[in-house]
Amino acid sequence: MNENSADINIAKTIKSWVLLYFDNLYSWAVYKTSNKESAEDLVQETFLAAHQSFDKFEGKSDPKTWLFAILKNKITDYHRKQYRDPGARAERQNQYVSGVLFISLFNEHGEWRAEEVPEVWPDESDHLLDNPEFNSTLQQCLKNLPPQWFSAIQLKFLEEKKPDLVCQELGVSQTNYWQIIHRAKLQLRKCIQLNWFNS
Amino acid sequence: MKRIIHMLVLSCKRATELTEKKSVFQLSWNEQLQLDLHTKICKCCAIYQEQSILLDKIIRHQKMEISKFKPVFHLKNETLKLSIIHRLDEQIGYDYETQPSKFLATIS
Repeated sequence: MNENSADINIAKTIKSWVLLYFDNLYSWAVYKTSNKESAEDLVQETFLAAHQSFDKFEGKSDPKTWLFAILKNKITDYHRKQYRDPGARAERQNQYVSGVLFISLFNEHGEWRAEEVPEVWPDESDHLLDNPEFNSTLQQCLKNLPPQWFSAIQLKFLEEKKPDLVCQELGVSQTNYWQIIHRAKLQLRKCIQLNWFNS
Repeated sequence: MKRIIHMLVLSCKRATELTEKKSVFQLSWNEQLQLDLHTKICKCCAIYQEQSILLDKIIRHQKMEISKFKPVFHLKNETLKLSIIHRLDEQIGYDYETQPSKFLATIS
């Protein structure tokens, strides 16, 4: 009897957490994956995982922090998978996108094309950190990256492990990793130049 | 002079590559020297480097806010919320079905 009423209490606690924290976790997952369907799966899995491993919670930390930690791990796994196995079709598309990107930015000697030369951003760029409008432009630009590039960028900031260890665990070469980061950043910078500074 | 550096040392394309490589891994002594030489002479790539670091800083700053996350856009999904609650109920229900005696014990 004790065991069962304990089960019911755990389920009740988790249900109260769903009511309290769902909106926050879901928004964060959409924000970090740029994909509503994946965010739905990840948040659902988070609550089910919390239910299953409730004994590890022990009330030591704040439930919100604990749930976010579980979700963060799930999001990291999602990006690892998306980065490592983008699929053959996506891989071909990425090749094409990077070809177009490099040709549009650099001439045959690898010099910046005149119209693409990076120009100094105005002084206010220091205050961009907390500017919600800028953040929403940045978010949009991140979202427009090919999914594999987006995941590579997310991994760079989500992973707490050292990048060489991350590559080793994923079974990808370091060169592959920074080359994708390179393309993603060129594209991101260009998108922000166009949609924030030039508009 | 600029052109010579580009041809002998590093193209701008390669300089942006090294800039991004540096943001993840350590550059070799030789790569670091090439990049430093290039950005000393090529203003465009120096600007690129600065902007690249700024963008990293902004993305990292967003990451820091996990626990006090305030979404720019607030998303709701009542359907999913209810379905999770339903699944949690089901999980207990599943226990009742497989262990009917315990279930009876809880309501007695």
